[in-house]
Amino acid sequence: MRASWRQHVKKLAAEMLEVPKDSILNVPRITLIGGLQLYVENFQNVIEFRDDLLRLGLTKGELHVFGERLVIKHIFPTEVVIEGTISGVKYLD
Amino acid sequence: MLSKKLHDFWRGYVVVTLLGEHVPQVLNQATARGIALWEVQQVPKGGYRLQMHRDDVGKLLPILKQNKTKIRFERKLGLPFLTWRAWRRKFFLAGALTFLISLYALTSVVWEVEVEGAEKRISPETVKQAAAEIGLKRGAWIGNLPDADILQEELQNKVPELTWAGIQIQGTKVKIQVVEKIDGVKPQPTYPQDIKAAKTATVREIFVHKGKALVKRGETVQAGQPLITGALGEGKSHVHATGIVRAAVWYESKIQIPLKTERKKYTGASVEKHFLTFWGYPIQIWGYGKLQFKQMEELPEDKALEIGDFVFPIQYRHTVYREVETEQVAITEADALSRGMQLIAADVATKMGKDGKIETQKVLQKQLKDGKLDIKVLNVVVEDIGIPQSYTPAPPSETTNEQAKKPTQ
Repeated sequence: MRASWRQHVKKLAAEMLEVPKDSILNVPRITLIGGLQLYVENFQNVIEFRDDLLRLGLTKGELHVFGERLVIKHIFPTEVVIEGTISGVKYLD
Repeated sequence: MLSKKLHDFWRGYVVVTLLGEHVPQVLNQATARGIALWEVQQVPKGGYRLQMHRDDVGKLLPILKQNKTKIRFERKLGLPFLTWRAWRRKFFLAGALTFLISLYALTSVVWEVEVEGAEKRISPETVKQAAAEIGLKRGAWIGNLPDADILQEELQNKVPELTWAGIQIQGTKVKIQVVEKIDGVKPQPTYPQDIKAAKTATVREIFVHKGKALVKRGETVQAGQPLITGALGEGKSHVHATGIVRAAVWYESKIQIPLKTERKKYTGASVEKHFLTFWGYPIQIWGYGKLQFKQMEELPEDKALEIGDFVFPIQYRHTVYREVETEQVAITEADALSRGMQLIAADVATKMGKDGKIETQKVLQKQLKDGKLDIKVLNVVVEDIGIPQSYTPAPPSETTNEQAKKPTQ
């Protein structure tokens, strides 16, 4: 309860100050450009990686990326750049 | 980005394939350790292909071991690998470098000196030698040569017969163009001189260019006698006498012609032998067979291999042996006589001056003795007998005053 109360306050602060929520809350930012490139900032680890599926572990939850010929263009401790024919992104909390 | 590509190239990177079940864990752990990975893709047989920096491979291996993943190196790219490959082929590269250096060096040296324009008074060799003295010769380093103007000046100073010298360096050839000085008109010498007779002769023609003639046609003069004098007007003025005096000179010649002579003649048969000479000592290599000829002439021809100043001691000799036959030739008296006259004419030609012409040849004595013809011939040759003789004029004579004084003594 206490954790989520903190979160709640942060969310409110973000809304009032009109700053992007990911600078306050420790949540990932996912940028999908067309169906070609996907940037994921603030992730934890790679759970599974296949030609057609990429499962990323986040601070809270998972991100599933569906597509064809998926290539991890770059991978950094907390960021990953994915290219390929991306057909879908699923955020699982 | 380009800067990333340059950075990767500089550090050296590899394309590897990882095989195993826990590749995603490998990715996580590697990334956590700060190993950069990119272009990660699954490959048909279940492996993963990725690119990474070569120097990170060391850090990756323990992670692979931990996750039971195999690694295979597909490609090795980047500067460190180029140096590694170059080092493996160091001799080839050394050769290539040597070639380039040699090419540069050889084209920076003078190989030929060409001289144009030295025809009439001075030879190209004179110019070439002077050029060599100022530094323009084969083997000279082109970069060290001074400017063309300086060289031109030096060359003109060294060869005073040139009025202009132009120097052009075209690649490894030095082209020298020269213009020779044209002589001014030589003034005629003015010192007083006479023309005297060189030989005793009878004057046929006398042409006086300068001076006064002392003899006339038909006169017989002795050697040393003055023919044209430079003193004019009884010693009042003296000139440099010149002229042509053609006179008939008598030459007596004697000769003996044998009527029977031996003559050697080639029969046409010949044998060739080939030798190699070792330090002068010949050893036959071809043309074996005994020489059948009774009388023969040997004609050896040597060929030696020379490299610069070094002559190879083993040389080739080609000898031709020609058979000769001596035959007795008998000539008639008339033939012997004409032969004798020819020989005498040639002999006289050497004795007379350059413009001389044999006027007549008269046989004085003819005697046939012991199969030999003795003849004595008188040759009359018309030639220029004038010899210049300079003199210092005597002080003007005072004969008229002295003669007037004498009676009073």
